[in-house]
Amino acid sequence: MKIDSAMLEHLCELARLDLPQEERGEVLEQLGKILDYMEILNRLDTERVEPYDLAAEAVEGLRADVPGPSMDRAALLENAPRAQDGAYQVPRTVE
Amino acid sequence: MNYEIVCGLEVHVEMNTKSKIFCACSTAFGGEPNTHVCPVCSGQPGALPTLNRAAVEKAARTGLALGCDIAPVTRFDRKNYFYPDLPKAYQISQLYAPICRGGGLALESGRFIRLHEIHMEEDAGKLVHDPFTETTLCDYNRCGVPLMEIVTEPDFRSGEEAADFLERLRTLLDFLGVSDCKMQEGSIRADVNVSVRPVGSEALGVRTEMKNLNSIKAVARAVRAEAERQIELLREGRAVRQETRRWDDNKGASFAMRSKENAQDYRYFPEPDLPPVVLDEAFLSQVRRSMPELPEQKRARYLAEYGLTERDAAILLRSARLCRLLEGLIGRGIPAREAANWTLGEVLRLLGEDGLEPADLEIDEEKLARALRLLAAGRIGRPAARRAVEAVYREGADPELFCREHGLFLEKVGEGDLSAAVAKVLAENADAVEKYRAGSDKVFGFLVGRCMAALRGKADPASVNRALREALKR
Repeated sequence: MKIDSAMLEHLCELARLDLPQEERGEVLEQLGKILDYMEILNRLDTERVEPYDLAAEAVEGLRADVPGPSMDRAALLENAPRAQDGAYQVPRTVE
Repeated sequence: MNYEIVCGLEVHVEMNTKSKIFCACSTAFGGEPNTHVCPVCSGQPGALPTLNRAAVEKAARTGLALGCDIAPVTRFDRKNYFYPDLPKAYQISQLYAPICRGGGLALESGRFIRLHEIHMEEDAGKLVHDPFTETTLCDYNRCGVPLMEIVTEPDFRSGEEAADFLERLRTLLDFLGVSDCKMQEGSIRADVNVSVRPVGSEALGVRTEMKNLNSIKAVARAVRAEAERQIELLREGRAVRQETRRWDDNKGASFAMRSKENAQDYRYFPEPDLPPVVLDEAFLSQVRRSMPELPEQKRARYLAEYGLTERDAAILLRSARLCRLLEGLIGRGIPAREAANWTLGEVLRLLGEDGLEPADLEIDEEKLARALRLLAAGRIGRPAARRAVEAVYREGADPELFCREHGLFLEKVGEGDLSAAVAKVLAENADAVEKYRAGSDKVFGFLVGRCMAALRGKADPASVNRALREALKR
């Protein structure tokens, strides 16, 4: 896969990044290098290698449905850049 | 050219667990904003999810009831998207190995709607626009509430079919006890996919998606309106665009969402923080054993064992809560017909008066049964029983105390007083007596009423009936 400027545009939109025009060439080149590296990995023959997986868990081992305490709201919102009326405040996203 | 509708549903069902799907925060509805939030569901770095066993059990129970194949091993995947309703910037969902595949549900018409899959995921938070500051406020109480997404194949041919399916699914989920099923609180939400194609064609047309329809009627309306819009486009020789549209039920029309909201690239990948879960035969047989009685089995039993009418059974079977009340009363010795009459009569009337759904019913069953036993024992009359039942419903009153305080107990009226009252009523109502003797049985009820009034409502109606019949024979 090759990254072209249309793909970069799409990625910027998904990531909500406003990338200045003068930086685009450099970023395009860097992303291309990363993908080239992935290509090296793709050349490996993994035909006979079992996929790595986390050890599966039985249902009995899962967390029981017992509510526990939540976090103190004031402490939680201390980490929010902006808060109002007990809610996180972000730039307008809904109409 | 004639067109037909091809429509599929994605139904999001909030499961009624006590804690969230990946953390122990409460799932209670309506708390102060951000009071049911912890490092896991607010997406703090380093916080790790732990899967709620009850969510897996409820999803498996639903799958078994819908005839699905349950995956021997189920996994979670990350669905990446940037939107402030999910602070992690991804939703933990299932793509590659959902818990259930296949299965389906028959419509009223007998047509079978196939399911594609059921997967588990976490709900998102609630966003509210603040008009004063022109900002968006985020409340993450709902973020992490367990959801099942029930996805159908595109088998619906009309909005009415989709609505019928939703109604049947809602009833089933209610009886399975896996969800509160309150559409107005958002515990069931449906997305619909709609396309149209020339009748007889097998190919699928371009489809649009409408999100977050929050009533069954809205689903029927949205499908019909969207199909009409697409047919009109095609008749004008224009193309249908694949897009997500927002249904406005008040305007009765849908609107394309901005293209940015249409930019979807979820970059799914296996969730590295949660191990796969093994659903072995031991687990499945335990789920089967704990399966509650389902509406179809209940219907058969209500007709055969309780002797209820088809009509009464059908009304009861719309609500698991009403069925629980009925069975509770019968278990407390109230005859089945009587229990059904009070449940469908007085209890539904009181709920309607308060604008409540049967699911919201709160009543002390034991006290209700005691009020009905007073009636059955002939210690109070029907009007008094209705007052006692209302007092039990409204204030949890003790029926014996209530009847005593309000003088509702029937008194043993002496034979002398009884015949005197009957004689007086007959003398005062010569016309009615004549009509009765001429063969009109209708006036008998009227005469009983007069006698009860003469005895100030305290006599036992059976004795009054008997005394009146005898007096009229003479």
